[in-house]
Amino acid sequence: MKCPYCGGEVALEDKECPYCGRPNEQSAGHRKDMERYQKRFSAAEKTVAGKTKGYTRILPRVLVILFLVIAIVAMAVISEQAWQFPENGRRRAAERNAEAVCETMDGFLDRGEYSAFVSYAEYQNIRMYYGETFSEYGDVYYCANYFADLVYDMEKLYLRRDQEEWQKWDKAGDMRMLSSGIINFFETVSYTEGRSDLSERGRGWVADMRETMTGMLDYYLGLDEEKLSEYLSLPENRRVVYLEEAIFGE
Amino acid sequence: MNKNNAAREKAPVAARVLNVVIAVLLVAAAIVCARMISQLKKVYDRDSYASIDYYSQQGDYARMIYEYRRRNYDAAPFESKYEEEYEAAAYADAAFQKRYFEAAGDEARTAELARRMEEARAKVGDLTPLLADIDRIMSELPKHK
Repeated sequence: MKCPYCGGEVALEDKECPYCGRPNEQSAGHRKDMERYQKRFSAAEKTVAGKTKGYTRILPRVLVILFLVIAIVAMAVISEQAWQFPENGRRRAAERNAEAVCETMDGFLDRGEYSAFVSYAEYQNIRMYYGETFSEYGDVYYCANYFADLVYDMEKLYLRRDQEEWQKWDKAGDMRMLSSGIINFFETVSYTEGRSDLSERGRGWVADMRETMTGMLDYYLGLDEEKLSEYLSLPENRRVVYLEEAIFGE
Repeated sequence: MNKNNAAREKAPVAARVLNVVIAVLLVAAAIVCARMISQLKKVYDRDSYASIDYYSQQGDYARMIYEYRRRNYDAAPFESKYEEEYEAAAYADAAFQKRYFEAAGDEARTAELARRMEEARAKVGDLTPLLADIDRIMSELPKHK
C-alpha cells in the first residue's frame, strides 16, 4: 500500500512509513484485527485442547473396560465348557485310530463284556450316528447300555437290601428303576432285532444280550420265561408290585 | 471460557470413576481366571469329585460299583489314588455276575470273571477285608435256581 503522505510503499504491518516516518493509521486497524483474531484463535485452541484432553483421558479407559468385560465373559464361557475339551480330544483321537478302537470294542462285545463296551464307548466319546465312523455300533450300544444299567440295578438291589437306610428311603425308587430297566431293555432289543440294517455280528451280540439277561432275571429275580412274559404284558402300575412279590415274596 | 473450565473439571472425575470400574473388573477377571484354571485342572483329573473312598468306608458296594462304572474304570483304567477302592468295586461287580454264569455253565465267562476277581484281589491292598464281606454277601444272595 502507499503512504497517504509521501506516496512511498508501506507494508500493512509497518507502524510508520519508512520514508517519511509518519504513523501508518491503516496498520493500527490491521493490528487490532489481528490481535482480536489471535485471541479468538487461542480461545478456540484451548477449548479444543481441553475437550481433546478429556477424550484422551476417557477413551483409553473405556477401551480397557470393554477389553476386560470381553475377557471375563470369554473365561467364564471357557470354565463352563471346559469339560468338553478332553472329551472332544478323545473323540478326534478315536476317529484317527478307528481301526484300533473298533478292534477293542469288538473284543468287549465278543467276550460278552457289555458294560465294558459301553464304558469304553463313553470314555472315547465316539459318535455312532448314521453315517459316522462308528455307526455300526449304534444300535448295539443302546441295547448294551440298557443291559449294563439292568445288571447294575440288580447289583444295587442285592448289595443294599440289608441296609435299613435303603429299605426306608431308596427301595421304592430302586424297584421302579429296576422295573423300567427291564421294560426298556426288552423293548430296545426287540426294536433292534427288527431292524433290517443290523449287521450279522450285531444281530449275534444283541441275541446274546437277550439270552444272558433272560437268564439273569430268572436266576436273580425268579422271573422265568413264563413269568417274564407275564411281567412284560402287565400295565405299568402292576409291574413294581409283581417284582416285589417275585423278589421279596411280599 | 467457563465451559472450557467445566469440561476440564469433568474429565478428571469421569476418569476417576472409570479407574474404579477398571479396578473392580481387574479383580473380577482375576477371580474368573483362577476359576477357569481350576476347572481346566479338574476336568483333566479323573480323580476329581470322586466319592468312592467314602462309599468304601461305608461298605456301600453298590455305590462303589456305580463310581467304578461312571468313571469308565472298567474299560479305561487310570492311575488313581483310589485304585484299591476301584479294584474292590471290580471284585464285587465280577463276583455278582460270576454267580450267574457259573450256574448257567458258561465256562468261558466264568473263567474270565474269576481271573478279574483274582486280579482285583491282588491290587486291593488294605481293603482285603472288604472282599471277605463281599464274598459273604454273595454267598447269602437268594438262590432262585
